[in-house]
Amino acid sequence: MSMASAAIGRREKRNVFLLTLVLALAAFIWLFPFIFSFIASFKTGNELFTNIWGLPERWDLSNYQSAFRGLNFERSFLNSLFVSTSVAVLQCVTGTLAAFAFARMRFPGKEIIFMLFLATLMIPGTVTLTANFLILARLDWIDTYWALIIPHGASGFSIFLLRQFFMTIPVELEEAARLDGAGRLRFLWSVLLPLARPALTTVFIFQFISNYNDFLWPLIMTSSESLRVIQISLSIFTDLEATANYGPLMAAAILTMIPTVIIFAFMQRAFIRGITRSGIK
Amino acid sequence: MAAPSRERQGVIKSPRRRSFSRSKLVEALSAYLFLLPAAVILFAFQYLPAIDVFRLSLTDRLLLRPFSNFIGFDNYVRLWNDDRFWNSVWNTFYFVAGSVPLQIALALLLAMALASKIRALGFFRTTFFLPVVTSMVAVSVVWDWLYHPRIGLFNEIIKLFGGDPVAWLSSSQWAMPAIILLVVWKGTGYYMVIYLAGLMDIPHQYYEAAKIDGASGWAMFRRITWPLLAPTTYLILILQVINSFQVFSSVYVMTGGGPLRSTEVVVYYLYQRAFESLEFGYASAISVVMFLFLILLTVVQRVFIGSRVNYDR
Repeated sequence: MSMASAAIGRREKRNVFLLTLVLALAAFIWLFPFIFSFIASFKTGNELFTNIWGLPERWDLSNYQSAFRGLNFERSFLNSLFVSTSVAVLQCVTGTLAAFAFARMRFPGKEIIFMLFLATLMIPGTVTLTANFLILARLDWIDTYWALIIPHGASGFSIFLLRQFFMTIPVELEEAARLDGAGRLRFLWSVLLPLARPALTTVFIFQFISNYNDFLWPLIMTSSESLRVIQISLSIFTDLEATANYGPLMAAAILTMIPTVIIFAFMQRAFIRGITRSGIK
Repeated sequence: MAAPSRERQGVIKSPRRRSFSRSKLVEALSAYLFLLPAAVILFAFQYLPAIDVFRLSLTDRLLLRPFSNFIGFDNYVRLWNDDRFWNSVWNTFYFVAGSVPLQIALALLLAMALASKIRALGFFRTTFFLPVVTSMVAVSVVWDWLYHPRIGLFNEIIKLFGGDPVAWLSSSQWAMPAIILLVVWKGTGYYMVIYLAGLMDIPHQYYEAAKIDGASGWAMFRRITWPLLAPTTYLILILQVINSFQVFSSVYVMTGGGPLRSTEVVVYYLYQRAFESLEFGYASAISVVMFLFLILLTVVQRVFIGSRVNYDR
């Protein structure tokens, strides 16, 4: 009996080992584009042609200098930072207010309005591009920061996620606050919001990263150079460097990726929670 | 509307009821106030354009011409006879058929591997998820280089194993598979995380009971994992299909629809019509067709698959 279970234990150990090996291989394949584009971003001149697999002879930063110039990095990065932060903050504000109403207040038409809010998730962004462009044109917002920020300032996703969270907070807490004479806004601001910090972080990170990575919307809604977000700058830089000058291109791609990767490294839990908890996106 | 009328009833009945209903009215009014900012944005930039695109599709609206005429279904007739449109439809289906099953299978396999008492779970999860948080434009630039026929690493690997180099993005045969591969690499981690959460929800005892009964690994997968994950798979399928039909950025950066329009997908064609040739009416007709198709697809999925995945958990 004990010999048999020892044999099973050994077999399980071997299986786990093999599985880890397979996973390690898969992980290498997954990291491969990052690792090698990073290495290539330091290779200059002919090295990309002659020294395909090796490390660069010299860790030369000149590709990054060209990428910095080519992307107009400071400007486009600040644009991206500004737009994405504004969108994320706006989503938190509109989301909190709406979610609070849905989770905690009684009013006629609640169910229908909630369904209408959620149903926006079923409207694919690409099919409303033409009509949205004309709406923004009528508002005279084309080629302004408004066009990049306001239309993305609310989403069924954020509202749903925050509502789910607010519903887990016991009603007694609100009743107690009420007895202490706190009004609704007061309760929301000084009791609920501090408690909701994890959920708000999730919404913020999620919206920030999706917005930072968004391409089609800014491509259509802006045209002047001063408004270019980093994804647009990168795509234009790619067109200009089309003659296989891959060193600066890899540097530019790395520069573009780094901010979200860093945020993700620190905020992984919050981000993944956004996917698994919401169950809708 | 119901709140004020109830308040009026309260006025007649008793002073106490009156203050009660009054607070109800205040509650309803403040709730509407709380909903207002989100409602305005969602209405103005989601519902309004979603409705307006139907109207636009019945006009000959050009972007640079402020007036437009109602032309009935002319755009749709033109669309029906537009070979380039059908080509983009075909390419999109090719893309969806290639990327969706691959991503689901890979996501499930990875999630199952990660769920089985593996070490360094955090490292693996981060690794597979990393492409998800990077931008499609940036990774397309990287993969464009990896696919380069002469200095790209993929062909170098093929050569290492003694194979013949592939023209990848400059071959109308290989360009679409190349894009599919990129998208699978980029997207799988997202669905893996959803699967992982689903797997964590399956009670241990099921597997332990099955083991005592001597069930094989495959039997446990067939009888426990797969059926209990059905709601998750269903959710992933809906998300993925809708996402996949909207593929754009990778095509824009890597191939521009080429070579020979072999990667021109519907959204790319729509973009060309709307923002290159500025035919807003016609582009709106393409949008409407795609919109209706996606709605239909969601409904069909709900009816045919959704009804079969309701397990009590």
